[in-house]
Amino acid sequence: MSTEHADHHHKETFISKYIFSMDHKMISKQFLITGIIMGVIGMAMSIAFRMQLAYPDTGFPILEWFFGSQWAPDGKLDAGYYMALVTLHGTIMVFYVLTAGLSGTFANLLIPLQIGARDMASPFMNMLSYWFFFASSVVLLSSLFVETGPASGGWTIYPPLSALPKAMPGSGAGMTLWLVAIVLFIASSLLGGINYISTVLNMRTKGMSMTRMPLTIWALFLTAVLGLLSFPVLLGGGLLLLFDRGFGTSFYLSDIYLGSAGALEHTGGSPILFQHLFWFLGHPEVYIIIMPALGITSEVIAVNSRKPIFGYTAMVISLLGIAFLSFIVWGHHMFITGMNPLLGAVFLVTTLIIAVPSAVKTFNFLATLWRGNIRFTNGMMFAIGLVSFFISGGLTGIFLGNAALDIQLHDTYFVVGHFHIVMGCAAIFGMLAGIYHWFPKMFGRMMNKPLGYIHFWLTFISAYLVFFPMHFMGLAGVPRRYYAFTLLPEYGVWFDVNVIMTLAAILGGIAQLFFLYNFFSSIFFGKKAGTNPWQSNTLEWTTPEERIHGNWDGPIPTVYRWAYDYSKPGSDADFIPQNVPIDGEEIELFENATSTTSDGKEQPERETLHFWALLKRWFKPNEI
Amino acid sequence: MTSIPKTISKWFLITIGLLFFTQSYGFKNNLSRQINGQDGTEARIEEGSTLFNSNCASCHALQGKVVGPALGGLVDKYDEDYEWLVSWIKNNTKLIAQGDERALAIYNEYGQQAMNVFENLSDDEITSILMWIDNGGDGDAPVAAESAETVEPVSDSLFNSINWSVTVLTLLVLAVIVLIFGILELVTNITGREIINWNNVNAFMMMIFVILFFALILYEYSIHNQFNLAQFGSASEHGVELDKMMTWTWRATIPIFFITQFVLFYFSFRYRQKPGRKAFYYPHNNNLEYVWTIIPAIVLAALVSGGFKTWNKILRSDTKADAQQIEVFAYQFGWNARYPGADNELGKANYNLINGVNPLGVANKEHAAELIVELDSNIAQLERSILGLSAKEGKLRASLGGLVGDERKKHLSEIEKYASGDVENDIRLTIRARNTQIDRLKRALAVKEGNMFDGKGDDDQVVQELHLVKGQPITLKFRARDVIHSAYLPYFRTQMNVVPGLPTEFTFTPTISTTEMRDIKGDPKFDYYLVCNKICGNAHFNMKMKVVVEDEASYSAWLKDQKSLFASTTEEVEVPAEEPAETETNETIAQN
Repeated sequence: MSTEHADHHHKETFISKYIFSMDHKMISKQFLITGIIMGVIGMAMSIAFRMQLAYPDTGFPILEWFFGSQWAPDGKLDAGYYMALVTLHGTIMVFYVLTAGLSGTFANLLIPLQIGARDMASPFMNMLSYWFFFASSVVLLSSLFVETGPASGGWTIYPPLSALPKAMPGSGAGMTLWLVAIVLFIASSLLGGINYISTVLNMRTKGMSMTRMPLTIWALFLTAVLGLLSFPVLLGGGLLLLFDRGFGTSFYLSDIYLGSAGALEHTGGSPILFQHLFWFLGHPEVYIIIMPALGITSEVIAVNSRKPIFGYTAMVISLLGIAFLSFIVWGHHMFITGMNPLLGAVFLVTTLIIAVPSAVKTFNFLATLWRGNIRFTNGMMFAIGLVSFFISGGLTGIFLGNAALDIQLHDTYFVVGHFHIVMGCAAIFGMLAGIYHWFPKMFGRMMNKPLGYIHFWLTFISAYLVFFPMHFMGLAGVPRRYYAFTLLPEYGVWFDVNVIMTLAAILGGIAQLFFLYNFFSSIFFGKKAGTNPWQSNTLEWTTPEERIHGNWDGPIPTVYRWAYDYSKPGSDADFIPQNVPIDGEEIELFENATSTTSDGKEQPERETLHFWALLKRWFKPNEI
Repeated sequence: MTSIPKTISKWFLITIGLLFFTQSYGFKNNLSRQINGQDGTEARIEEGSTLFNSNCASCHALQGKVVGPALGGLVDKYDEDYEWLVSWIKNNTKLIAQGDERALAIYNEYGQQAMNVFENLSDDEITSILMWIDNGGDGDAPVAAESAETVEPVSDSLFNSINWSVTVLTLLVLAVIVLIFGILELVTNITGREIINWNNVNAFMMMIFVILFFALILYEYSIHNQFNLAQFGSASEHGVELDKMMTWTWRATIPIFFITQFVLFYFSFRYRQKPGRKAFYYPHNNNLEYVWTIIPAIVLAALVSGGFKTWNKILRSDTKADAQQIEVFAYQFGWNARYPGADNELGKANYNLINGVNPLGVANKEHAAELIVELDSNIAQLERSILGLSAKEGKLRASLGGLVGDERKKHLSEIEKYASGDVENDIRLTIRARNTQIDRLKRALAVKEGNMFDGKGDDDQVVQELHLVKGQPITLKFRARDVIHSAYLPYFRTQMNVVPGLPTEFTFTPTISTTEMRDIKGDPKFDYYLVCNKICGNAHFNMKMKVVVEDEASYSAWLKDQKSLFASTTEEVEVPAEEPAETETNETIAQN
């Protein structure tokens, strides 16, 4: 068997191996590297506009050199271009880095490896998913080179601003490209999501019941479900917006008089409709971003505390709770948009309920650390950082979820601080924890540990320095998305703070250079990793060191226990991999799940999915 | 406007003036200069300052581009062509539609974003603005640099010590650290044992971090909490409730924040890996799970019920009946307020009625009739301009020779727009929109009963400052002209989006007057402002309206001075006796 795999390996051309690859491991690397590139672009943009906020009167020749004299005359960002950078920064970070870069990387890498499958259910769709994502990135970035500039109405692209090219230069061709990019992105996300869901449901190895899945898989699985149910709504909303822009329809437009065009014909539409459609994706999107990060953290914290994750069942239930509730809280982004106040009251209740499962997860993380034997690997540091951000940002969410307080805090810097900490930093830290933790699996080498520590501490400290003061600005009533704080004299007291935040942001940017250097140099020059460098239980560490298409040389290992048998009493080693049989008994959870074909290759058999059988399997008591 | 002899004398004087003051801009010595044939006086300049700040300042500054160009030096630039400049300021879209070349050039240079129309400004008023500009503005004009300097830094010691040289130094230190780490790694690889116990280092760092983190939070709290709006008390009645809710939320969250953060880092430190230790196998404990499900649930339930009550009290109460109605109108990039006038009723308004003299589109029969005539002539003009398109294209092609580089590219894309028919298409679409508008206006005028033209709007007063009476409940009725804006009044704990096509409102009672708040803040220059808080275009950051809370007497005195919108017609038009149907007419016009 192994020879056959090796043969197969050799037949691959450069293009089929590295470019149009259908191997989930290669696709995950493609997602990761594209995500990192987009992340670098997004972060550079944020530093550029933070420089404007800190030094509104200083020209930076480097900006003029880089953006050209049209967008940064005398080295000062143009007001419209500032908006464009803010918009693109948001779009890139939310969709391209934290959705595709995070889910795309780790769902692709971990789902087949951790559930014991040779590849995704549909490798071809998986490949398409990446290339749609790639095309989408290219289209989005190409909008930077449009004469009227990229989309600049904020990443939430509320019409009428985004629908009327005459309302703002950025609503011209740049906005069209933005919408096209998002349509491509949604196609990518749906292709990936269907694949992840069907792989998790159908291709788990012998013995891998749903209740034995590592929490990463649970999180990635529910994330895919969320994406599948919510992204099509944005697709619909975006298409209607394209119609309004191009074909004269009035879905979102009504009663508009534009300074440059006079009274428009549109009547009967509602801008609020778009907000409902947008946030019906937009809010689950927040959880699409944070859930994989939480899943990764669960795994990394358990492995490096050498302890089982505390309350596995509670963790799964709270994930399910978050996934369900995330669909009925979108209105908290719209408390004061003119939505009926009664609806506001309803969304207030659902929004604050969602804090309960989040609290459960936090306390379970803390309980996992308690009396552990904590190993500060780079991944572990970032996982701890995530928990810290999750606490800070989660608590400020309680303010913003409260409709009454939102009257004061809506669209102020308090919001910016809140979501950057809980969604931006926390998710990025989850992603970095995942990268440090599974780098040995992806590239077969270790990353440099001390550089990783520098990266962690600089990023951690600078992130808090950038985003913590924003809460105070918000409480003082400073609005977000302002090009310069020159409107009122009272904003002047924040000039110094803006300088500090900008310097911290630059420090954060420098910290990422350590990471980039570490990442790319370790791919080629890192220390060889060995099979299981973290002494972890999950199945991905049972694959051979040489990464092959099909993952396992021999038959796929059978699973006999859950993923968290760390430091189990009665065992000498402090970990027992999932494929180690429990003494004397061999549990067959379900039979004939795999069969052997004539050439000796093991294949998952297509069994009909019986609902009751599935349900029984889900509730099979957990063997601990 | 200016007679010919006046114009000649103006040119003559300016030519003479220029001989002496070639570098005149920026000096306060231009009072003698005549603008538009008129002498500049302190009073005129004063008037110009007020007008500039309420009409122009959101998009223009004297130095530096904001959205529109910098206006310093404007008078010198157009000193030979005031008539053109005035007609541009009054109605630039008309000039662009006429195909005026200078107008088109500016329009294209600024990304085809037309400037607002200012037909409500008289020639003299515009001249006053020019005088103000010519005399170098107020000195405290809204230019970033100046306002930055007038503000005192919060704490010099901390903030000013961090600057670029420090950053560079930090970088150097970091580079050295990396070098040292590299050497250590090398030694470890050669000797086979770790020089530094990273696990312990990081465990201690965790502990140091959490202590510094808490210290820094307390330090920042001591500095920045003095700007927290809650420090000054709420300037509105409902805001007190909101502040109370805020306090309770702080009380519920702050202890959790400090406890959980501390526990997180303390556990990380305390349970760091040590040789010979084994972790405690403790996979689950349902009782614990219940505890930390139920306790947060109870806390959140309390916050939910509090928030629910507060929210309902603020936005769903029925105490709006006796509130005074004021309309707040938002447009790119500014605010207007409309007071109901003597009849104490706001007249109906519709976006189809908006033009230069009626920026809010308040219903008035005569105005509507005039508007139809204006639109008709506009259509005729547009149709004429279609005929001239091919000539213009030819002219563009003829002037292509000799251009190189970017300019040539720009020119070519301009030609392409004509050649592809985009320009013509655009004009035809505009004509269609104008026809629809006329159609709608005519239909609205034809409605016999419950007509929107009930004369109630004639005495309405449109102003650029929001004046409120202390203690008097008011309902702000929001209307947007173009895109979504958001009316944010932080001191009144009031915010509501202003959505085109969707009327929104907010009822509140101001309780602290401007002068009282000045005392509270210890800032004699303080004023309340209504600012825009929803991204609405390039000058979003520059969109505000002054709010004055005062006593009844000074409010009435101020209101009496405000002009009625259609003052001349007020006496002539009879207010119809029958009650107009409430919203029907508005909808009719909207849905046609």
